[in-house]
Amino acid sequence: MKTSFLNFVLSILTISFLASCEDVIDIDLKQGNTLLAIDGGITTLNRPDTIKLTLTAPYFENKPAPAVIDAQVSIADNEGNKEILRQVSNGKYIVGMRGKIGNTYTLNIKYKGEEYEAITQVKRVPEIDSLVVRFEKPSNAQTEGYYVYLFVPEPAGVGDYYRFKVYKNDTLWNQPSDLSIAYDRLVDGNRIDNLQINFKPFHKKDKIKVEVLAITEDHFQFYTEMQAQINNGGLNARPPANVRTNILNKNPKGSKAVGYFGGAGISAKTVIVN
Amino acid sequence: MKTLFLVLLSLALCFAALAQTPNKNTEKYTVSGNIKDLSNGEGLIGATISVKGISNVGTTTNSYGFFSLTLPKGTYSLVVSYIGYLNKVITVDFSSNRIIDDIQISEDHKQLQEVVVVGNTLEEKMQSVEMSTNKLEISTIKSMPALLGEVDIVRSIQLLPGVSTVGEGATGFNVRGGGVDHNLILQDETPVYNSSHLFGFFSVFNPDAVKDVKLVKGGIPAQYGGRLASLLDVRLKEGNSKKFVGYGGIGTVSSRLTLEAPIVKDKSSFIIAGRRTYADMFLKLMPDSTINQNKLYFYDLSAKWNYDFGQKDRVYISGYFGRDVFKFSDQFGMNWGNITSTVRWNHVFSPKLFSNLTLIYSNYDYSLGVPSGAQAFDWKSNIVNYSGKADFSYFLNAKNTINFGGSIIKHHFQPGKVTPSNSGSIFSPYEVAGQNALETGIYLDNEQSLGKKLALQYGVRWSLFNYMGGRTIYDYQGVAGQRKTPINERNYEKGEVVSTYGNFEPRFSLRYTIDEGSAIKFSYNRMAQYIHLISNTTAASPLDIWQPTTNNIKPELADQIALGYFKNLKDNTYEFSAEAYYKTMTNQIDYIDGADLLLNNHLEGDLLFGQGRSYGLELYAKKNTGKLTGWVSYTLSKTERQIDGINVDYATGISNWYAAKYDRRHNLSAVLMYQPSERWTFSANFSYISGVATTFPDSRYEYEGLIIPHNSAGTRNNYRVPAYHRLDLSATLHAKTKNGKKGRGEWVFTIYNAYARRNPFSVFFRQEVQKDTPTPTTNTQAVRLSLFGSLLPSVTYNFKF
Repeated sequence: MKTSFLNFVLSILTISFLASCEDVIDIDLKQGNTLLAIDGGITTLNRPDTIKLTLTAPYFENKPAPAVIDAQVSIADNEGNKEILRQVSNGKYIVGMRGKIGNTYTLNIKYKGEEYEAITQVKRVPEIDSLVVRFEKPSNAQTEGYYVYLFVPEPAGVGDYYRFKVYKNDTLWNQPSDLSIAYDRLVDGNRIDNLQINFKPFHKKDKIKVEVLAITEDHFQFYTEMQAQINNGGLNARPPANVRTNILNKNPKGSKAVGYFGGAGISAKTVIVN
Repeated sequence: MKTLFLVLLSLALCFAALAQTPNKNTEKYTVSGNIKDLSNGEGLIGATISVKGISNVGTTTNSYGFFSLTLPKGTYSLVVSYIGYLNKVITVDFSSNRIIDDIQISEDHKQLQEVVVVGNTLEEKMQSVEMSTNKLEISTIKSMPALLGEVDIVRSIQLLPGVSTVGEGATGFNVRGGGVDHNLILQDETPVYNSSHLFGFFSVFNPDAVKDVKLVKGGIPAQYGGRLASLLDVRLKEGNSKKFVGYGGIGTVSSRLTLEAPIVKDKSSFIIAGRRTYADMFLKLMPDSTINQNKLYFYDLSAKWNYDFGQKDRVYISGYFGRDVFKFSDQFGMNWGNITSTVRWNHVFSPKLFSNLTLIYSNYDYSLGVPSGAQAFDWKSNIVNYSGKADFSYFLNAKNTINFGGSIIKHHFQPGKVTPSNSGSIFSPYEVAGQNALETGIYLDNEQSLGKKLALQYGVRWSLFNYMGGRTIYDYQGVAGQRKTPINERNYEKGEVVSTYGNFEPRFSLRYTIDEGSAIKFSYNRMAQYIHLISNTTAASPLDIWQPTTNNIKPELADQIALGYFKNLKDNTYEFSAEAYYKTMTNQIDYIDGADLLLNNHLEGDLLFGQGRSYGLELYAKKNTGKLTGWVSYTLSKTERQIDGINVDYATGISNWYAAKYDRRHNLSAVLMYQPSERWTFSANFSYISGVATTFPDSRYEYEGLIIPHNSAGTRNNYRVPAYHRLDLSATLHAKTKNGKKGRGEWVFTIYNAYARRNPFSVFFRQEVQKDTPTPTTNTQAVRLSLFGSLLPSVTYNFKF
C-alpha cells in the first residue's frame, strides 16, 4: 500500500512537473554464473500444480529461459507422503498431490551433482464472499463503466499474507505492475469490502475471476523484493538487489539457486459482467 | 562522569595558567561592541577589526556582529573592514574596560566595477585557525545560475570543494564521504530536519531572508555536535532598523515577498519573508479533469523580531513555517513541513564576556491519506524537539578566547499513526510506538595565539544521550543480513532511562603562518551522532525516518584529520587552498534487502551496522575582485563502506568493503561571474562529477512469467553510472541608476543544463512492457532516467520598493 503510493506520487511528479525522460541505453554487462531457477509451488486448487525448472541467462538474452528437463524432482509432506515428479514439457514438472491447509511440504531437486531443497507451508485462506459488479458514473479518478469489487473477510490474528490474481476472460493479468500483494497488519480481522479490482472499466460479458492466495511470510517478502525489482523507474528507481530464495543447496559451498517454491491456500470467485 | 570532571578541571587549570602569563608590565583594557551595516542596521558576521600600525593584532565579529578586543592602555586607530564594504577607521581609547557604541560601516557600491583591495577580510583567512570552511556571500549565491531561476543555498554549496550530491532530485548534500543526515543544518541556531521542498528539488531556505551562509567540513569547533560530517550555519537577516523596505521576485516556479521595517528606530525591527510556488495554478487551466484537480505546491514563511535593550542585551524571536502540499485528484493527498520557533537572548556580562541563550521548539510532521473508498486512511507522523542552549565567549586577553556552554535537546519521534478515515474503510487503527530521548552536551574550548606564527584552537565536547522509556523495549537476535527476531520484551515507564551513551569529542585545530600570504593548517575532530536517517529513496521523501540511538543502535562516531595549505596572491585578489582529509566512521547504519521501513514496530530488527572511511584531496582557487570573479574547485576522493550482511563474499562469508553510492571520484566545479557594466552581470556554472556507484545485474530468471534481474556474484555497487556534467548560464539586467538613485527592478534570465545533456539520475533495468496486453514480453532493457531531458530556460523579475 504505502510504498506503491509513494512510487506513484514520485512518478507523477517526474512525468508532469519536470522535463524528465527515459532512454533505453546499451550497457555492456558481465556475464554471471548460470544458476538453477525454480518457479512453482503447491496449492489447494483442484488442478495440478507445476514446478518449472529453468536456468538463469545473460540479462539481455531476450528469449525464453532455457528449460531444465533432466532433473530429479520429488516432493514430500509432513504426513509422510512422497512422490517423484514427472517432467511433461519445457522443464515443467507436474505435482500429483494436493496442498492441505496447515501442512508443510519439502521439494527436493537433484541436478548436475547438486542437491537442492526448499520447504514451504500451505496457509489458511478466507473464502471470498462475493464479487460485485457496479456501473460507475465518470469521476475525476476514472471513466464511466463497469467495475468489480471484492468482498472477503480477513481472519482474526495478525500474520496472514496474501497475493491477489485477476483473470479477465481466462487470461491472468500479469504485467509487472499487476503483481498485487498484501498483509494484515492494518486490516487484521476486518471485513475487506468494496475493494476495487479494476481501474479501467470492464465490458459487458467479460468473465472476471479473482483468486486470493494465502502465502507464507517469507514468500510475501520474496514478492515484496521482486516487486521492487520489476517495477523500477522514476525518482524512486533502485539499483538491483537480489531477490531472496527459499531454495537451498544441501552443500553450502555448492552452486546457488534462485526462485521460489511456495505453498498457498487459494480461494476463487468468478463473475460475468452484465 | 568522574573522568569528565577531571578533564574539564585540567583544561580549566591549563586556561588559568595561560591567563597568568601575559600582562606583566602593562595594564590592558578590553573594548567591545557591535559592527553593523549603516544602511539597515544588520549586524555583520565575520567583520575584521585590526589595529593600525600593529600587524597581527585584531579580531573578528561573531555570529551576532559582536567583537571584543584587548590592548595595552592607550589610544588606537581601529580599522573595521568587511568584504564589499568601505573600510572605516575609528579612534578608540583603551583606558578602561567598556562597551562602545555600534560601529556602522557602509557598502562599497563601486566595488563591482573596479578592482579594489578588499580590506583585511581575506587576510583573516590567513589569520584564523578555521579550516575546511567556506563562506558564501548571499550576493554570490544570487548571481549564480539557478534551476528554474530559484536561487537555492543547498544547490550552491554543492559547487564547493568536498561537497557532492547523488543527483539533481536528491535531497541535501554529502560532505567528505558523509551521508545526507550527517550534516548539522542550522537556521538561526535551529536544527532543520528536512531541508528540502518538493522531494528535494528546492531547499527550505528563502534566499531573500538569508544574511550569511557558512559551511564547515572539518575542524568543527566544540560548540557544535550531534552530526558527523559538517555544519551548515545559515543566519537570517534581523530586519532593517532604519527604514521600511520591501522586495521580492516573480519567478517561473515561485514568487517571493519580504518586508522589513524598524519598530523603534535603531532599537527594534522585524522581517517577514514568504514564498509560494504556483505550478498548481496552471494545472487548473488544464481542460483534463484528471489533471486540473491535482495540487502540488509549497510555501514557506519566516518572521523575526528583535529588540535592542541597550548595549548589553538583545532579544530575537523568530519563527519559521513551511509546508509542501500534494493532492492527486480526490484519490490521494500528502503534506509535510517544519514549524520552528526560536527565542535568543544575547547578553554582554562585561566587555570580556558575551553570552547567548537560545530556546527552540521545532516540529516536523507529515500526513498522507486516501480520503474516500474502501482503502480510506489517514496517516500522521511527527518529530518534536524542545531544546535549550547557552553559549559563552570569554575574551580572556588578546591571545586567548575561551568558549564554553551546554545544550539539551528533548526529542520525541512519532514514526506513524494510521486511522481509518471513513466508516467503510478496511483499515484498523495502527500506531508505531513513539520514541523519546534526551541529548545533552557541554563543551569548553580555547582559541589561543602563540606568537605571530602559531595559533591553536583546542577543546572538548562531552555528549550524553539517554534513550527514554514510555514504550515496550526489545532486544533483537539473529544473523546479520536477515530480519532479526524481537526478544526480551519489557516495558519502560515514561521518564525511565533505557540506555545511556556518553562520548568525549576532542577537537583541535592549528594554524602556522609561513609568510603574510600563506599558511598551513591542521585539524582533528571527533564527532558523535545520536539520531540517524533511515531512507530507502534517493529523492527526499517526507516518509524518511529519523531513528534515535536505542539499546540496539549505537551512536555513530567519526574521526577526521585534515591538513591544508592556504595562499593569497596579489593583495588577496586570488586565493588558493589545498586540503587533504582522512575520515573514519563507525556504527554506520543500513538495512536488509526487503526491509520494512514504514509502520514497523520492529524496524531495529531490519537494520545492519558497519563502518565507513573516506579520504580525499580538495583544490580550490578563487578570484575575489574585479569584473571577473569566481572559483574553480576540484575534489579527488574515495568513500567506502563495510556493513555486516551487505556485499558478502559467498565463499568466505565476509562482508567486503564497497564504494558508497555517494563515492564520486572526480568532482570539478567552476563558477564564473562577469560584470562588464553596471547594468549587466553574466554568470556560468559548470560541474563534472564521476557517476554514482550502483549495482548492475549479470543475469536474469523467470518467475511466474515475470523477469527478475540477478547479480550472481552478489557484489554491491559493481558498476558506475556515466559521469554527470552540466553547464548553466545566466544574465542579470540590473535596474538603471538615475540621478544617483538606483531603480527598482531587475530581470534574471537563466538557462539550466545549457547544452541539454541527458545526465543520468539513475540507470535501472526493466522488462519491456507492451501496452494493452495482459502478458509481458521476454525482452529486458536498461533505461537511463534523466530528470532534465533538455535545457531549462527561466525568467525571474526581482523588485524592490
